[in-house]
Amino acid sequence: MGQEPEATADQSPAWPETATRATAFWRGTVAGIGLPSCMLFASSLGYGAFAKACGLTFGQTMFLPLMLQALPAQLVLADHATRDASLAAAAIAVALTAVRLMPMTVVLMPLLKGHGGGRWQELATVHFVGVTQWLEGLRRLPDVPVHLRLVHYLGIGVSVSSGTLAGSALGFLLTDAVPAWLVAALMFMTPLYFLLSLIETSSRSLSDRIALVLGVICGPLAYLIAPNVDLLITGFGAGTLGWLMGRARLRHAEGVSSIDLGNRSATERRRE
Amino acid sequence: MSNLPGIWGQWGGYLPFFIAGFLVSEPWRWAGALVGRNIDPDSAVFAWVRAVSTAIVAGLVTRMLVFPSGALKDVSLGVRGVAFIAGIAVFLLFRRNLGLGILAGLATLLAAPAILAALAR
Repeated sequence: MGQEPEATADQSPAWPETATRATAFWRGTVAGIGLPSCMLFASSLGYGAFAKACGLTFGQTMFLPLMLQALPAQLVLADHATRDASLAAAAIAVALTAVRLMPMTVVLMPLLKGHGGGRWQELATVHFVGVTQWLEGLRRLPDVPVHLRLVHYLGIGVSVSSGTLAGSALGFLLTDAVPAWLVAALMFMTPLYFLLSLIETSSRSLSDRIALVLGVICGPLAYLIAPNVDLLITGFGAGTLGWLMGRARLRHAEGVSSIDLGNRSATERRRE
Repeated sequence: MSNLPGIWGQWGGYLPFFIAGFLVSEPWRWAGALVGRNIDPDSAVFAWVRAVSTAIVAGLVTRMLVFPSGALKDVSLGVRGVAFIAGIAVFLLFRRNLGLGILAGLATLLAAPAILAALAR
C-alpha cells in the first residue's frame, strides 16, 4: 500500500506532517513579504507624509499603525488630532471605521480555531485583522494544517505590519522626495489588489459574488450620501441583498432539481 | 514633543492616541473573535456575515478609486477607471494571476497620458 496518489494530492505537498509552529510562522512571514506587504508599504507612504503634514512626531507616526493596524483609522485619527478635535469626537470617528473589523474577524475565526492554545492567543492574533492580512488569510489558511493556522496567520500579520511601518517611516522622512506620478501609481495598486483578491476569495459563494458587485456599485454612492458611515451602509445593504439573492437563487436551483426527481413530491414539499 | 494642538500634544503625546485609537478599535476585533469562535461556518448567519464583509471591502475599493486622497487625484477618473478595468480583465484572462493583473493595471495607468497625448496630436 505504498502509493496512494489521491491521498497525497489531498495533503498539500507544501505542508509536510512534520511542519512545526516555527515553520508555519516563518512561512506566513514569507507569504506576507511579497505582494501584501508591498501593498501596505505603498499605501503607507501616503499615510507617513500625511501624518508629518498633520504635525505628528516620528514616534507618533509609527505608533498609530502599530496599535490600529488599519489605514483608514490611522488617517482619521491623525486628521482629528491636527484639527484639535475632542477625544470623544475622534474616538467616535475611529470606532466607526473599526466596526467593519468585527464581521471580518468573524469570517476568519473558523479558519483560525483549532490551534490547541488558549483563547488569549486568538485575541492577540486578531490584532492583525486588516483588509490585506484578512484577504491573505482567507486565501492561504485553508491549505495550512489546522493546528498551525493561527501561528501562520501571525506570521502574515507581522510581515505585513513591517511593510506598513517601513512605508510610514519612509513617507514621513521623504515627504517630497517621491515623485507624484510614482505615489499615484502606488496608491492605485491598493484598490486593484483588494478587488482581485476579493474576486478570488469570493469565487466559491454566489452570495459573496453578488455582494461584491453590489458593494462596488454602492460604495461611491454611500460615500456621497454619508461619508462617515458609508462602508457600514454598503456592507449592511449590499451584503444583505447579495446574501438574500444568493440564497433565493440556491433555493430555486434546489427546487428545480427536486422537480426533476419527482414532480408532485417537490411541489408538495414546497407548499409545507 | 509634538506640534499638535490641545490635548493631542499632552500626556506624552501617546496616551490620547491610545484612548481614541486602540481602545475604540481593538474591541471590535475581540468581539469578532468571540462570536466567530462559536459560529457554524455552514450556517446561514455565517454566510450573511461573509457577504457583509465582502461588500464592505468591495465598497472600500471603489471609494479608494473614485474618491482618492492625495496624488491619485491628479490622474483623471477616466484613466483610473480604464486602468482598473484593464487590470481586472488581464487577471481574469490569465487564470487569475494576481501579479499580472496588477502589472497590467499599473502599465495602463502610466501609459495612458502618453497615449492620450499622442492621440490628441
